[in-house]
Amino acid sequence: MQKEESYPREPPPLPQYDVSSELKKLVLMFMGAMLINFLIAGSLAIGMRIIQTDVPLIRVDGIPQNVLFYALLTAHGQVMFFGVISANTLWFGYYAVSKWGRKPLAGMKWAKASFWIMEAAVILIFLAGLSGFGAGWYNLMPLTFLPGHPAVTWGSTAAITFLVADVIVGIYITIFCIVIFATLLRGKLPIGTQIFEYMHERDSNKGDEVSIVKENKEAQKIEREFTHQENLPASVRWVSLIGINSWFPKKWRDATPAVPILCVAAFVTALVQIVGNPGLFVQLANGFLSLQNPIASSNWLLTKNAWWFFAHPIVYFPLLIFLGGIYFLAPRYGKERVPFFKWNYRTWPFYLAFSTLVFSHHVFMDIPNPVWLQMLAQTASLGIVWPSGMTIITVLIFVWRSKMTWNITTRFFIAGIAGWMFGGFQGTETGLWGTDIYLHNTLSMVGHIHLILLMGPLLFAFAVMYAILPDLTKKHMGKTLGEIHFWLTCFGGFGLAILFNIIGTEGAVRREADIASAFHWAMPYLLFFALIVGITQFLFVYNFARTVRRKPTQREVSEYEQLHSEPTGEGITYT
Amino acid sequence: MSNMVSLAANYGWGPYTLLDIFIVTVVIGAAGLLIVMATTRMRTQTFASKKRYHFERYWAIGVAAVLIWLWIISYPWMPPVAFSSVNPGQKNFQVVDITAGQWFWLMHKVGESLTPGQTPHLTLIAGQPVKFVAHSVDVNHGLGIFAGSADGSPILLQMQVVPGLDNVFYYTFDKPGSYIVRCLEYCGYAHPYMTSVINVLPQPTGSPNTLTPIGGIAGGGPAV
Repeated sequence: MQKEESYPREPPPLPQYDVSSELKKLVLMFMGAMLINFLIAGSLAIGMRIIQTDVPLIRVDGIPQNVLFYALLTAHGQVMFFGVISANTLWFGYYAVSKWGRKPLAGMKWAKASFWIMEAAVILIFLAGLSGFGAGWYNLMPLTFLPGHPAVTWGSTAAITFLVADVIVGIYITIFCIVIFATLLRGKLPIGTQIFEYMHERDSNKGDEVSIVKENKEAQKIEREFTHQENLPASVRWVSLIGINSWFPKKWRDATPAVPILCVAAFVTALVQIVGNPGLFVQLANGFLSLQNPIASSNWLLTKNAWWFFAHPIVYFPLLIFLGGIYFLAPRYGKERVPFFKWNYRTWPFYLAFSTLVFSHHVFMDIPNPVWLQMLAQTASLGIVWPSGMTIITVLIFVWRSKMTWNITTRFFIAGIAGWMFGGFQGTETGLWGTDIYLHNTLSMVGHIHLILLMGPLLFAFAVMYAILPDLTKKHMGKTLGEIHFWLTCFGGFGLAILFNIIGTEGAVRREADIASAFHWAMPYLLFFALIVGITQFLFVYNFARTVRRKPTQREVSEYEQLHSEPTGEGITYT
Repeated sequence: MSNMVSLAANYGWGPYTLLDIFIVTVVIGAAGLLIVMATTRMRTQTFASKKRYHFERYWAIGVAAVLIWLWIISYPWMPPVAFSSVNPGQKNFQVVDITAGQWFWLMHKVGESLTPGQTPHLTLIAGQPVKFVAHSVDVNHGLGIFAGSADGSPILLQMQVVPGLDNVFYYTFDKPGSYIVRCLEYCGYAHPYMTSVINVLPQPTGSPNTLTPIGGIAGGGPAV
């Protein structure tokens, strides 16, 4: 452990750092591709809603309609996971480690390769869907690998296309993780001493924060920037990048460097997923073997567990990096710094530990699983609630104490917190074995996943896009279209997810092309909400494309230069 | 109730309670966020740093305490624990063999022969524990038993039916009536139509119904 003196507490903060133009271009490419994927995958979802609404002019009765529904469902789910929300993680992860790690991205060529590999996977998923492949986004074997079976409507080509697509998905996610590791585990990192006392002592009567700082000696050592960059020893680097040092006793914390929380978020995101990725490859290997020799019996329970070992971390893959992003957005628009506050960091070791095991509501329902695994899974499912609750409270307390400007960005991130909070709460209900049996595989799970992912990380991603597009292009997105985008996305998204929750808890079964008659009343409303969300995204894409393509105005250039000349302009984006 | 297999609904944590809790959470959560947004400019501090009052610390302890409490109260709902009150050796113990396939349920009580033309609907006796042993002949299915005969009835119990294994669940129906069975795991294009019915008859007068709560059986094993 290095001594305290090694990490000076005195200003000045580090100079400005801007990411390379090459990385900016890559980020814009990811954003553009993500939006196109989002529009297409969203349109597939509207197709599903139309089928379930029994729109007379479009309805095709009987089996072909069901086949179409499941092909849409499969392509929608896979592209939303691997072409939309994971794409957001890639562009923001690359941007975050370079911007807040203050260094060029290691393996820029590999980062570019991950973009093209991701798009190849998405195209293959669409092709499999066009071939009628409809085994569900979660690839629940052996259904996937039964081409030729009388009950299976797709052929070997569609199954193999889908299989290859998922192999490629595993490859591009692995590349992302390695690029993040290579960037953060080598070279210098911005560091500072961790300070743990609150300092934003404010008093509306006194008003002057400086006078209060003088009164309070503790406050003088609190507000701090990352003061320098250092090549940390491996053990200290790992401890800092996972946030473990925030749990050290005070004496040790003072001697331990803090790194920007966005670097912690990116590192933990990559670490969680690199642990989960072998699950995907084990599952796919078992599927390949089954396809080659259909007579041989496989251990389908192991195959299923392997899939969820990958596929529940993949739910946290788009989320964790944007939880770090909150600590960039809140101070930027709250006009305050977030100190190296220990509770901001203390959650990350728990995210790392529990995200890898939180697949309990799938393990629960498979009774033959060993009891110890089910107990462990329930513990992890409840365990993940703790860091989530801590992140929410630290951010909300910070927001409450700040002078937050409520613009499109900040409203999007507060709405994202709402979606994540409501969805996460329901995740707690499914995290208990006893209550999960009333919810599992009902439409309430569809509501849960739409709250967690559509109204969580996707709204965070929109918030970050509105925030950093001016940094990338020196241009602002249209405000009016942005306002419409925010309000209609929230209205449609929350309406869709909450209605799914209500009818699901009442017993509406998930993944039924032909929904039970008792719930037909809800289908037109679901279609309505889905259309609202869908149409609104076309407006956003138009706003985004128009902004990227036009030239910056003189006013925008001036604003941009002013923002980056402020002494705390970039500093406020740190932890 | 003590000698029956009780799940969370028997402790007041059924689906409608969960829905109520969810709705209350959404309303309170939304109100809380709006209050935070509306008061963010008030510049008053209740979490005074001079007193070193760290709300986060107490919040952390509070959330952890609630989670531990949830883990403890949910322990009796876990199937291995709930099943432990069942004594498979007792009288009137009903064993149901279930074969699931695309897209059918074949259910019959062990010891009763299936005859051609027999209705596929299963008949059980209320108040007598049932051991469901389900296996799949093709893909994953989900055995879902709903608390009623009408569409729109909430789920009573469910478990996955993983191919290649015996999937075992114990339950005691306490009310006579018809219970719809639906497949709860997507299993192909006719998945929505994979249904059946369990008829539960009242217990005959004078029928013994004594269960001894001793160690039970949970989980599954290799298919036989």
